[in-house]
Amino acid sequence: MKKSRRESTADKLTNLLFTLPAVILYTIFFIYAVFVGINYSFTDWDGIGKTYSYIGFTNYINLFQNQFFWSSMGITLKYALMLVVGVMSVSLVLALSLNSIKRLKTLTKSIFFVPAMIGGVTIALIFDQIYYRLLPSVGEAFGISWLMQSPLASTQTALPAVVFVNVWQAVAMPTLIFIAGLQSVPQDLYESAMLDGATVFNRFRYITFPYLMPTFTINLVLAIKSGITSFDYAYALTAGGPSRSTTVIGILIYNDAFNNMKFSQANAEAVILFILIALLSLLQIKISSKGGVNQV
Amino acid sequence: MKKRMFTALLCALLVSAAITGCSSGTTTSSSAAADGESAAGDASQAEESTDGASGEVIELEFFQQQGEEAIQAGYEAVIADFEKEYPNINITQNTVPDAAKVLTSRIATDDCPPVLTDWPTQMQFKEKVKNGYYEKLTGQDFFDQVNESYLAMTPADDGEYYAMPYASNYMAVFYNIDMFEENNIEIPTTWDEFIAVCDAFQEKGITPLNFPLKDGVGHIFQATTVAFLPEGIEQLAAVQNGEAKLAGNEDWMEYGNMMIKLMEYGNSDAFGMSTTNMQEAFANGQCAMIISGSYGRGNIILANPDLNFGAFVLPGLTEDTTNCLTGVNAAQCISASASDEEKEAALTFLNYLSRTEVAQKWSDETGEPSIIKGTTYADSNFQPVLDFINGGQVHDWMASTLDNNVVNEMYNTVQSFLLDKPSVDVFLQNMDTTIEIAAQ
Repeated sequence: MKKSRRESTADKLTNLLFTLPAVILYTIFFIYAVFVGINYSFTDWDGIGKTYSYIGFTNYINLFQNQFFWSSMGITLKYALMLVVGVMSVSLVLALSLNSIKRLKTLTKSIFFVPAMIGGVTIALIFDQIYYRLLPSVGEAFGISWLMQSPLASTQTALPAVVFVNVWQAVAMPTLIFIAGLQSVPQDLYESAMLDGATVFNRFRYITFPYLMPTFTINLVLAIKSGITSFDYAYALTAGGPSRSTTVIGILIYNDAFNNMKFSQANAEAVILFILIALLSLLQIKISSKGGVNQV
Repeated sequence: MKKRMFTALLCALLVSAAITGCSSGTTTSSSAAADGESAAGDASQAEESTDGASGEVIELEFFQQQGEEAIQAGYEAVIADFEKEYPNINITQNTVPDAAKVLTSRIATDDCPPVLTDWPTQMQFKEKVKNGYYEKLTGQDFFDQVNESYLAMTPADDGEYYAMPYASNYMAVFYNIDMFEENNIEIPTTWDEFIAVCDAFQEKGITPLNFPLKDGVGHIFQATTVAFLPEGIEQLAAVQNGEAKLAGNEDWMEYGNMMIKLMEYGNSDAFGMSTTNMQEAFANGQCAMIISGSYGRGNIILANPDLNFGAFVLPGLTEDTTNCLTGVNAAQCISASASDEEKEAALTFLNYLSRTEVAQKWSDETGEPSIIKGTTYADSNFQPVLDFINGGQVHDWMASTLDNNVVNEMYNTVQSFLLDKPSVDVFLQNMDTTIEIAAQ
């Protein structure tokens, strides 16, 4: 008995020591930064002053009364929703298609992975030119009125146009994760289902999807987080315009911190964003963990 | 069991190695600090031979905030000449996108570049001075070389000077001279004449104006406010201070109507067009005029060196009420946290820049109007604007009177007005709300 307890203590110690470097690095580069940010959110620091005062919850109270903040939150949620729907549906369809390819499978997968290897800002600048120069020419050539100007020039179409660029790049990784998930589905289940006369949809609904549930959860969490914290595509394509229509919360934080000299208020915005992501992730994991093969 | 103990020991060894690594890093940094001290000691010795007799080269980062290609090229040219004369000082120009934001973040992390450019009339500059980030330059010889009227615009709140004003800037109407001549069109001096010019071009199937409303609405808003409303910026300041409202103000009602009229002569893709796109389009003859900052001239020449173009003042309602938006352009400053060695090298550089022949070369290369005494502006097609400015009908940029965030937020509201075209009443109410929120 004594021996096994000693063994168990050694195990714990081993595990602890293995995780220690990561914990130390994470603490220094993430946890510490979060606490510093939270601290600043209770001050009146302007970003360059050498001194600051603690002002309690004033920044938070101001934010809740600030219509630009609420409009940014709304835009961010719309952005995240469009991104999640776009990324999840396109990557799932791509994964199913790529998984069913018999020849040149690796090459095709590699081609679809290329966007993930290009920087977000680079892609945004390429699409900026496509939107400004190519699309209006196509619109004029075919007489399509809504294509005759850059979609980034209208408050109605700017946000979907930015999300489109983000989706274009963001589908690569979830597609790979879905493909990995698809390969875990036992083939004999499909064979039995086919013998029983199950349709393609039913095979997907009752065999593929339950096996994909864990990967679906991972992709969903990643897509939500990516949507809510998105910054680079909107900033490079529109800088938040026109008329604040693409001012996602990331741009609001950046502008308040470095442009408007409201660093402490920007920190309060970041803290609220952090809480929002934490809550959404928890809720989403809770909901998605029900069902799926591994949870049965 | 032995195996596990061995693994645990190995882990402990790894962690201790990591910690030792850290501590050895500390040793390194402290030894680096010691090196720094000895370097400082060396620097004091080097001061005895500033002309490089010791052979030690001082590296100096010059954080230059204006991203225009011509301006960067102009600085590169004078830096190359400077380094030939002062081989012991090596200056590296560093220009980044979003320079103002990068500078704020660098200052916040105690990493202020030793030499840099900044706008001394702006409120944000005065905040940096108040916080002790910039070196006091009052009394330096190079100030004798600067045009007194521009120099008088730049003292900080304490009455001292912290930057060497080097160039002025302005907003004006750039026009295609050939198009004006071919169509027998005269340069307008009043709003009505300006509209008549736009009508004339429109009738001939030429796009009168191109607007870069994707990213350049701010400067057009500033230029039109100064040109159309003699007291416009002061009225905005009153709103910022909670003393007035724009809603119901007749001057601003008229301004709103003038802006709507102006947009009728613009390009159909104005909201998709960036400032660079506008400069290219103008350079390629796709429009007769643009409302541009003086900073745009160099880029237009780069895009089409053969373009025959000039500038005139954006006309207001009458010639007498027209003001031209002008101010001190990015001026040279020195970081207060730079080492003595860097400060000395930086002062040498500033003194060099203030020489008339150097400033002339810089002005010729960049196309920026120098405010160093003895310089002349090379392009006679732009001289009418400079003459008008010298006449005194001028106003400084909004950021010299209003808070930066108020100015930035107003840009968005003006963009909404031009894009969505609500009534002028609604626009003015939105402006009041915007200023109120931003001024909180």
